Amino acid sequence: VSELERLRAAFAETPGPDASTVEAGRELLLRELGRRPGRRRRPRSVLLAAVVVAAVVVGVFATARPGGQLTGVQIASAASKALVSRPPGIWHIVEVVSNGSEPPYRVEKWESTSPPYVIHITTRRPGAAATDEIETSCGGVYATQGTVTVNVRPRAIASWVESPTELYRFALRSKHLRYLGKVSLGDVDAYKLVVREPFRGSATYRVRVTTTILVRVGSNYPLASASVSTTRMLERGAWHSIVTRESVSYPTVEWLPRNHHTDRLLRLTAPRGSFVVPIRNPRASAACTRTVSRLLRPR
Amino acid sequence: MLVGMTDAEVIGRSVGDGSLFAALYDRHYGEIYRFVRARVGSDLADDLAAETFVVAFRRREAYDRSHADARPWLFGIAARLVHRHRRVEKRRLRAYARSARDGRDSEQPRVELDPELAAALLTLDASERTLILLHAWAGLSYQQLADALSLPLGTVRSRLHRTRRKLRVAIDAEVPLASVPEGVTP
Repeated sequence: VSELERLRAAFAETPGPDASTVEAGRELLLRELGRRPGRRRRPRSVLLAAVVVAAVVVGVFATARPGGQLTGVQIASAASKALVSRPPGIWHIVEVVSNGSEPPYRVEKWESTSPPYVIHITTRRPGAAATDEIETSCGGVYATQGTVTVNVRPRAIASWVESPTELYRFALRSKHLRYLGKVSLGDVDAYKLVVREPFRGSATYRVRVTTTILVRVGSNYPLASASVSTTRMLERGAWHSIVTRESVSYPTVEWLPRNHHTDRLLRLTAPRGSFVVPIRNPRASAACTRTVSRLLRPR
Repeated sequence: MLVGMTDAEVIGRSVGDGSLFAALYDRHYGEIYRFVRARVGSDLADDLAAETFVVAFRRREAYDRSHADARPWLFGIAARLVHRHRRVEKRRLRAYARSARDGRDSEQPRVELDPELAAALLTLDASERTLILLHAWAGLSYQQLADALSLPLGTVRSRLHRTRRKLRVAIDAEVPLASVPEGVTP
């Protein structure tokens, strides 16, 4: 018997996944599918962010255009700096999202900007059940149609927060950021920034994503963002272009100081008549169990 | 809608519509899970197998669609994730190797790997173990191994040959169990 045959015989006894494991994996993937590309970032400390912003500002100063003309980098860095230099608090973001294939829907988020990082999301998507969920590095609390699941499951990814500054950091990281001048949207003045990435992909399939960001003049909060992808495929010797409008978002942003009262916004209220399903991972610590359980506020 | 489509076509379409990527999960999750479980155990397998598909989803735009079968790509991602937990894998192998000395009919948990084989696998370094287990357990061919691990085909051939010989020698020599530390259970 060769060593390969012995290995294969040993592997033949390895059981496959049970139904609950398959479902848990599918749920994780579906949650990833639901996120918009390029927006998920690990949180960075305020200090690190300040250093990055300072470096960008110095860079901008060194490369400023003559005659006082604004550049995309100047606007994005100034906006990012204005939003980052705040004490620990909570971002309250209400987004109306339209992706072209279904009616616009509303997403409301409360995100803490200091540890313990908590993001509370409420989604009202047409055709799907309304969901209310909380994410932490220790696990989450999810409420759907009368069931509340308290899942204590430490995740490899420590935590993530999508504060409004992430949109500007994304723009600043790109080498293809441009400023297209001032525009007005519903009587609100805004700077128009565009990140137009080059085509990427293989010899027969290429994708380009263009992101437009409207920055409110004055507050520097994002007014709108749109992402359009252009797909090109080589078929029978000719390139075919397909343009897909991916998503348009109109966010309303509010910053709240973090204290005993506002911390309540980071918790989930159990819907009336719901029952709680606790799921505790054996590897979870007692501290994690307490952290996640504390995020559920019964009616 | 996706029946009859290759993995490459599914991935291509999922760039425009991410929800289609779930079809790839349905096709290959079981295989990936078994491979990961056989290496690091059931405690970590569900997390790593699921993370494999999350990583694959994020990198789907970079997938080379000239490869119709996505298994080598997925196994390559899984192998890199397992590599981060190579200490867990070694601890498991040591525990299996120890089970021969302690006796299989004791109150030890049932082992899934032959003790001699486990001891022999411990003589390989992590990259050699990954190579031979992708070949033996995942059933990847030389070319698929080269794709999965981003190595030249010739390198795969020579490394696999060397690793097999090393493993054979270790099995024939019956690695002394005294070299396996105590106090570790699967």
